[in-house]
Amino acid sequence: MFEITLNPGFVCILTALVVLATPRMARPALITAAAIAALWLMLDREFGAAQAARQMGLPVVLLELDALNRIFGIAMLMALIIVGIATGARRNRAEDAAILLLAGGAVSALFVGDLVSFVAAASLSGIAAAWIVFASPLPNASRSGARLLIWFGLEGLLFLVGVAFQLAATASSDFAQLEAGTIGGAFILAALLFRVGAPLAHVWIKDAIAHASPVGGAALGAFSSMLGVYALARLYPAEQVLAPIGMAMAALGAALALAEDDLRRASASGLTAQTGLCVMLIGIGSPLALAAAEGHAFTLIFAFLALHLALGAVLGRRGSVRASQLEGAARFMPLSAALVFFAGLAAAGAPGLATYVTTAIALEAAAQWLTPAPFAIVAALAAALLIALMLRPVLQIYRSGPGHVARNEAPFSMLLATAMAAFFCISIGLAPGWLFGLLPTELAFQPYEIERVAPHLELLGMAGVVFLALRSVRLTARERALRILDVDAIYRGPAADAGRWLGVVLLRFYGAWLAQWRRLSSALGRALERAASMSDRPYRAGAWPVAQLLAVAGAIAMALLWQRL
Amino acid sequence: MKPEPPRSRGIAGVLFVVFAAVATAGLAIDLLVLAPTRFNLFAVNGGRAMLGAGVAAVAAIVAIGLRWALGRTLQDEGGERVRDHA
Repeated sequence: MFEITLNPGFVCILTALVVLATPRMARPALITAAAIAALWLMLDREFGAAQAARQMGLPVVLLELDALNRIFGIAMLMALIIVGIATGARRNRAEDAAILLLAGGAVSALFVGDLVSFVAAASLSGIAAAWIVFASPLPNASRSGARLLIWFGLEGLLFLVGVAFQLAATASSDFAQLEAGTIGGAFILAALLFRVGAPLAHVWIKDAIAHASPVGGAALGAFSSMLGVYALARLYPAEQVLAPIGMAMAALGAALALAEDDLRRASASGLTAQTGLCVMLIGIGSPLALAAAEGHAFTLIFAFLALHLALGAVLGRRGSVRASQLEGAARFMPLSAALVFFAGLAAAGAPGLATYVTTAIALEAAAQWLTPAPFAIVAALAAALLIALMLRPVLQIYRSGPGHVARNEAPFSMLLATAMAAFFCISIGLAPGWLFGLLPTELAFQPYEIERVAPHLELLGMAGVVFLALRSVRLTARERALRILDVDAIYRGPAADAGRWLGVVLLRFYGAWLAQWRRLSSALGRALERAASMSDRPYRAGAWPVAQLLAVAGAIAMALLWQRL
Repeated sequence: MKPEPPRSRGIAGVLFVVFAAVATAGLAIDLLVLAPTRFNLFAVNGGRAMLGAGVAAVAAIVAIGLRWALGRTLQDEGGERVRDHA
């Protein structure tokens, strides 16, 4: 008998359907309950694979639990609890269902044990991510959702081609290490690089997060690219090509985070940069580097969840999170401003917070690499993100202004959710032992030894001092309302114009062809009608009816003659 | 003409003092207590401070350069995008 194994992600997917018919007041509780139930299902199981079924000759392993997917599962489900609380801040039934579907798809993909099921679950999460953007009330969200759908469509295509080649070559759909040198492995790697936001594919993350609602943006940051990091750690550990790709992601993401005016775009670029560190560490591939990548992904989920929620809280009240338009926002919403400040520190990896711990492990792992480049990238990224995600927003938000203003703080649910994410950042930062206990690799590491903390403080402190000194003499970029063109400008600008032009030309061709066809078919119809009307009156006087009668009589005579002969 | 937005000397000053204190403490420990290891960039004590200063300077240049080369301004009046297919 076919038996369905209850993957923890399925709980969220099933709840997504229920949420569509649930009243507003009950939805946050339902989302949170689904996350807790999935967490319980996961923690209640022993490591190992559940019973596999066979479909079309392929094994379908719906649940295979180990230390690697458990750590990602814990982070994502805890993030879903926080996001569930934040959903109480607004009314959006479709987005609530989409968030659950996104989280459910991502968590299901974590725990499945075969390639086909992974692709199915990852594609489901991709569709749900696009749905989140479609459900956003922000302007132009539907176009952004369509673009995201195209990105994930391409990713799904690469996945399918890769899996097909992989099955043809090895007849195995095991969700285990693949060779990037094979054609199937290369396609799957390309699909995963789409998912993590490798250079040229980095635009989807900031496009989607910037157009999603405050809560939707936070969910996208937590559940989208981190699934790609997990799959890379599972399928391509120590794949050398990932190290330079990760370094390029870190450099590109940091540069964009420094220049963007829209702080949600800047934070999405910062997330891409930090995800790049994880990709680089997976490429380095030593046990310490893999532990650093997995731990860093875990802490990034909470740090960027806090940052996106805090910025979302400001967006919800101010209508914009452009740095150029946030002067003095702290006077209107002091709690949200404090949370932005804190989340910026967490995203940059300030000592005492979760990302510092995993950055310290990453530094240790990068120092063992052949060249100093990975080490310099990890260290420099912390300083760059401190400037981009903490200093720039804080200097704008805490600008002083004249007069008394009425407070207009973000909704309580939003503040509570952000504070919970911040709490996890602090608790992991101060007591990292429980994170180390969850890592697949046994780790004896002291992140707060003086030779680690002092140089990091020196790095961040000096970066802050020099940036503020440069700013005081107006040698830094002035905050003003602008948008940075990226590679998406090609397909949103000239390529979109060319597509529209081609569409108009094709429509005209189609219209002309349709008109000709109508003319031809009506002429043909008229001719047929004439012939039918003439045949309808065979006994009317005239030559034609007589000829018809003679023809019929001749045919009968010929038939009789033929029969006789 | 729009008035110049209020300066942020207050918070900038506070942050400058805090960062200076943090940098001084870190640098002092690095120079006085720690042995030069590979973790101090390029095996030099104080290397991390040099890296931090370098990153800040490069960050300023990159932000100015990117905004100059790729930045497209928005119409301040309506907040609408000048040319954006978003």
